[in-house]
Amino acid sequence: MSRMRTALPDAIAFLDRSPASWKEGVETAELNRRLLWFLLLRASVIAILLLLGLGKSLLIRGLTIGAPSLLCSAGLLCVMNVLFWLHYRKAAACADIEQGKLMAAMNIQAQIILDFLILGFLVYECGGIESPLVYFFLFHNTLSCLFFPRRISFFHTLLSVAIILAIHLLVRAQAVPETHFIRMGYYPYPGASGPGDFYQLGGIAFMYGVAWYLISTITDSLRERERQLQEKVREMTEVDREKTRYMLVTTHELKAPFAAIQSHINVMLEGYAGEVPEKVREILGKIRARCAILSSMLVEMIQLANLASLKERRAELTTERVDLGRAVEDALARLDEIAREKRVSFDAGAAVPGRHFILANPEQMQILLNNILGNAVAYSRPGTAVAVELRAEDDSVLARVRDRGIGIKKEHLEKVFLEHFREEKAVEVNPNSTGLGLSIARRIMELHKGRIWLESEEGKGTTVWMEFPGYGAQRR
Amino acid sequence: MNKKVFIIDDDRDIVESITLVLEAHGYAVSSLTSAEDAVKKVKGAKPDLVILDVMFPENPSEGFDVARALGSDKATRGIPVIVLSAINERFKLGFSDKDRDETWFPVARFLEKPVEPAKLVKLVKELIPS
Repeated sequence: MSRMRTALPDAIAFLDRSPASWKEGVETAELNRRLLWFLLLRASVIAILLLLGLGKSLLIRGLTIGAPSLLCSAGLLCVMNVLFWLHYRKAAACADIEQGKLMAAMNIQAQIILDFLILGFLVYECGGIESPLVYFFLFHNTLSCLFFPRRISFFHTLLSVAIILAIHLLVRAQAVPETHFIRMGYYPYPGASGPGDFYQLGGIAFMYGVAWYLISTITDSLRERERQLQEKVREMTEVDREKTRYMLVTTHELKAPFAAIQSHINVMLEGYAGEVPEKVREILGKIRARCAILSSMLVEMIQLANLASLKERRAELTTERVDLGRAVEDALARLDEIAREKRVSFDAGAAVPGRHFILANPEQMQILLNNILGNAVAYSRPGTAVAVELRAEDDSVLARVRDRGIGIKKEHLEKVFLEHFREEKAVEVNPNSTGLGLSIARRIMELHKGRIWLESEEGKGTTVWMEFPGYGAQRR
Repeated sequence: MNKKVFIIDDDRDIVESITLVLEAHGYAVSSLTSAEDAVKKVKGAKPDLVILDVMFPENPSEGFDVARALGSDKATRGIPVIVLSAINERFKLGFSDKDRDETWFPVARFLEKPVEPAKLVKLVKELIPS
């Protein structure tokens, strides 16, 4: 059953040759899909015509249309299908994207018109307006309403009615022999030249007209709504891009003066600007440290504001498949120098790349791991190790970072997630921290629908737990 | 002969401090405080190494553009480039992995501002051994 359900999408995917740019606009993507759908539909019609042509008398008793007509139509449709497919491939491979889209639209137009002509022939062969085939023009007319402007879909409707009318008039004028759907004698039927035929013709034309009006009106309003939606999405994307650019420039503008001050101080402290007295050296060291704190505080405050704004706007995170083990490995590499200075080692044997995957924003994962692992190093006692472990749970990935450091008081285990909250002992050990790292970490985890919590024993160390929804769970 | 270093950075203070450090280590330093005509000027100066800022007032990623232009020009392709920026990797807005891909973006190293003299000198010595 499920195989039947996926048969059509699978067949469309098999035939699909459209470039990525065609999938960006809903209209072009749908146009592409319907073009392929037409090819598939025609393939089924070919199969039906072939079956009827070969076993007509067995399948429908009394059908008047001859086997050669059915087989010729099938052959013609088959050639058309191949030509349309080749033309579509050419359109999809066209270097000029707009030209390619135009070719695809023309392809559909040509398919509709040629289908109409063949359908017209089959309608005539099957008895004109007495044949149920006269309603088959509706499939194309409906799709035409969906993909083309009203004047074009109206033209298609008009063409289909004109074909039906022309067949009937040609029969009435005896320019062509009269045909019937079912051979006379099998079922009583008044025939195409009965007195009610013009009423029937009028009814068909009326039905085609009303169907065109209803469908084209609905699709017009849907198209307008889609256009508005796309406009909104474009505006939002533009706002997001502008915001990112603004953040980047602001951060740079705020950080640059501190960087310049620190560079000058570094140059002075290392004696490039002459001898520096001991007391001045001490003061310069303090200025440099304060500059460093201010500078990282600026970055972290902007990060925090950005995360808060994402949450407020309920904006969707840009996520991708992230190898958590690899992200840990990268973060540890970045912290390697600081860790060596502090004589702290890493035990990350249980956090190797290629095993644990999550759906996450890679930049935010980088910030998160830098904060958590950076804290673990900063508050560890010299000579100890920070253990990092990743573990797959049912629908999640659990990360554990354990240090042998100063620990956190039990009553402060939640408070440390507040902005700027710092324990006295922490300030003593790491005076250069801003007190924003864990707030940022929690916000990142919330945005990723994950959890972060701490376990700690004062004086013995802290364990940070992070639970991420697994890649499979997020995808569902 | 002294090795030549060319600095392109709109922050005069940074240029001044780097110049002080590198000149003390015997390098001949010249600089540019705008990215305009950077490639042309680098060609004229024929340096052994370029130190390049990323963000310039009119374009927040102009440094990337200059680095690419240097990398694609025959005359400057072989010159190692150190990219210097106040925005570090920890906050890598605009620094996509593509920007750091060597094949796509020919940059020898990234260095974060503020410049630590010892780190800078070590890196310069590594890239242009005397």
